[in-house]
Amino acid sequence: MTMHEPESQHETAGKRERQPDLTSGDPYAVLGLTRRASEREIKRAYFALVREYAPETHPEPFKLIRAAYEKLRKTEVRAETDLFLFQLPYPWEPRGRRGGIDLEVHPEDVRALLRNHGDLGRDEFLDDYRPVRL
Amino acid sequence: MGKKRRTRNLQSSMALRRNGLNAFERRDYTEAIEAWERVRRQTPDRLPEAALAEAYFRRGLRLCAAGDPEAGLDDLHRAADLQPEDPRIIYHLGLVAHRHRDFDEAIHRYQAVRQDAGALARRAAYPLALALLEEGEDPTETAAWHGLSDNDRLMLSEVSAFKRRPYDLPDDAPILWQAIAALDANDEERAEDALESAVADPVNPAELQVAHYYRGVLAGRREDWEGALRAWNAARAAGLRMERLEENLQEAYHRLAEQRLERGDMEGALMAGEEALRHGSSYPSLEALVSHAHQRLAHEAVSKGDWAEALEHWQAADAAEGGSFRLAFNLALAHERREGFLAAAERWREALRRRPRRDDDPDALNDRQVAQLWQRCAEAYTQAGEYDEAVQVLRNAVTWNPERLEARLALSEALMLNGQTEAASNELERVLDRDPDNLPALLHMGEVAYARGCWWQGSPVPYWERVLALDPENVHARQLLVDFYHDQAERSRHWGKYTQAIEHHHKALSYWPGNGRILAALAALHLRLEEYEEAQSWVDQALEKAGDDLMVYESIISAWLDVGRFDEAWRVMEQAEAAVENVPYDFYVSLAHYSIDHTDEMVPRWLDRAVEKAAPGEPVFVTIGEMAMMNEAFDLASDYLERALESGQNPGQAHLILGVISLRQGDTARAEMHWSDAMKIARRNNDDDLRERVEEARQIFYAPPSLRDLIANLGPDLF
Repeated sequence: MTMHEPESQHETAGKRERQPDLTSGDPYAVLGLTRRASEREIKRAYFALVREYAPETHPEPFKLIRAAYEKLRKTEVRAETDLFLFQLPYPWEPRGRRGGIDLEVHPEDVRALLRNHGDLGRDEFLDDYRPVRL
Repeated sequence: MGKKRRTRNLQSSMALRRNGLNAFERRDYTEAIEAWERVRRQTPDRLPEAALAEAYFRRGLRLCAAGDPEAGLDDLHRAADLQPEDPRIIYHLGLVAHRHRDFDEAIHRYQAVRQDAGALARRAAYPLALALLEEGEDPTETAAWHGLSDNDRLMLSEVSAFKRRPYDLPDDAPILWQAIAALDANDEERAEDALESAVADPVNPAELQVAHYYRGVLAGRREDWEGALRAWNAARAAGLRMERLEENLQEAYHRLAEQRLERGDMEGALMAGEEALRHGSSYPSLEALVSHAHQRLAHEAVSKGDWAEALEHWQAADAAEGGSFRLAFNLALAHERREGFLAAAERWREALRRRPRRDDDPDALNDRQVAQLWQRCAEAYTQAGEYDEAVQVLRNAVTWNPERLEARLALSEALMLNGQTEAASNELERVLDRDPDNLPALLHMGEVAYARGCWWQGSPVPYWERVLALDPENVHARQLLVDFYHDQAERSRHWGKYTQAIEHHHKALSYWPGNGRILAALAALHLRLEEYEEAQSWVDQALEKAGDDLMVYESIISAWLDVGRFDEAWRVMEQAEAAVENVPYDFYVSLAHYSIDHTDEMVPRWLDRAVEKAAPGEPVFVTIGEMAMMNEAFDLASDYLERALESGQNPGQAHLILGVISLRQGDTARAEMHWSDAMKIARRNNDDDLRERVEEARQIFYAPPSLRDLIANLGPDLF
């Protein structure tokens, strides 16, 4: 199974475009990477974050970063991690619609207007009632 | 027919005629028709045909005005059957046919009316001329044309311009017609100005509807879908009902949704897509669009860590599109996050069922991945307590990847949980055949051996010792060995075999030297053997190693209580209080619980101490009540629960347990009274948990006596 990124997320070589999200359950998001990141990029992102969140000064964030790294560090473990990450939808491709839209002029609409004139446009015909005798 | 029967019918007919007339005068034409139709059946010679026709005629007109022209037409036809020569009925049949665009029928009826002189013949001139025009005929050569007013003639002449393109209208033609003609000629600027004027100053509601409609057409031609929707919704709000309008609304919402989706506005796309669904039946490309928007919103929700919202969006996407591998997969993950394990397991199953089978599909799974998914599915079933299902699913995982030992291990665990210890053991043997040093398998094999009984499978000890040999730091194996020997020691102690118990504790200690609780247990055993000097040495070691562990003190105190040395027990308790800051009240309740079986003398002392030590707001009275009830000390339990009620301490729970005690004492009325009070408190505090527990208690109360006793004996844990 291959991983798909949403259209808005891209990563150029060596440059991180996603902000690390330490609260995420997705290890890529924790390290600020896309799912296509190379081994080198994973390692580089990890060490950059460790410099920022050193274990001595930021023990809790460090634990999260380390846990995320452990899920991506080894190819085999990463394959299992990838397998159970939520699946992004395929990029949107409009499909054929059912029908077109009617933007034409219909002369019968004008004639229909005339059907609202005179008796054709009335609802009440009390004057047409006749008394009843038994 | 006999004379009497005829007389009876005559009387009945007269009454019905009168009743019909009364109803007719009240304008209840349905009741009048029913009454007079019965007269017609009973005494046809006394049928008031003209009256009945008038009732049908009036009801027919009323139904047409109320928007039910089919029923109205039926009534008018019935009226015409009864009074075929009545020109009013014929004329109105013509009007209904005309509105239904049945111009042939309408012309036929109008011409019949026109045979007579009089007001109706004059009224029929306009609709007849219009019907001829709509049929493509020229009305100007007919007598009807000459019966029209000048204004009507002008209007009908001008509308004739719409017979052939290009539509060439005189300058004084109504503004809306000019707008439509300009639109047809693609003169959008003129059309826009004219439509604006028509909307600003409509001649009648029908013109306003049509003006809004063509403003929508104009906006649509410019691909301004928001503008088109505004105009078409205005036409709809003004009362226009037309299939073409609904289709255009659906399509415009669809196109707007696509525009928004391409801009990345998922909320907007979803709203437009859902509106499109409301304006017509669903179809695949629209369903796919709505599903896609939901999935993108689910992705955004996951990025924010909001799995509840993500779950809702994926469920909506699933409902819109009818399911897919990816949706089932994501739903499984979301349910897991929300701890809906059974739902998660079912979704994993669905994902596996829907997985693409073609190797070149980007979502294709290899055998190893299929096995992993089955294993994940099984984990969800296990979490949900569905061990039988977990076993079935794990067998699939093993089939897909027989070499995956993790799956076999998981299968053995599931088999154990499902009570199939022999099958679990067999599965573990298969793992150990492939990998004799597999630590999880060895650990688990020991657990299986212990569960099956040592006399059947052999001791679990060799398995766990093998683990320690392979991995001396393995804490799990060490703990299992300690627990095993501790259990053996407890069993020996229970049967009074203190020396054997001491041997077991020494064995446990060999795996965990310096463990305070084991040292305390050894001390307790020597105390029970009245070897006070030896005991004191173990007490000293235990307190040296774990002087802040209240379990250590409890163990020693229990032993002093066993040998009747209450003063020593109290002294150790004071020692604990000196060593541990803020001893919790339940420490004393636990000692009271132990003492109830051994000596009544100490119970009040422990309980007084518990009450004294409890911090304000801690439910000490209820805890004591529960403990006493478990020990069937009902009077003691009731005393403390009443004190709980007096002090407002967890009154719902206090009433619930008092109810159980009353039930155990055979006072069902009192039990019901307490449960009612508990239920009131649950409702007042919106405490669903308490409400459920009271309901459970009541179910037990209404159960057969033997079952009730059985359940009641299970104690308060049930509640």
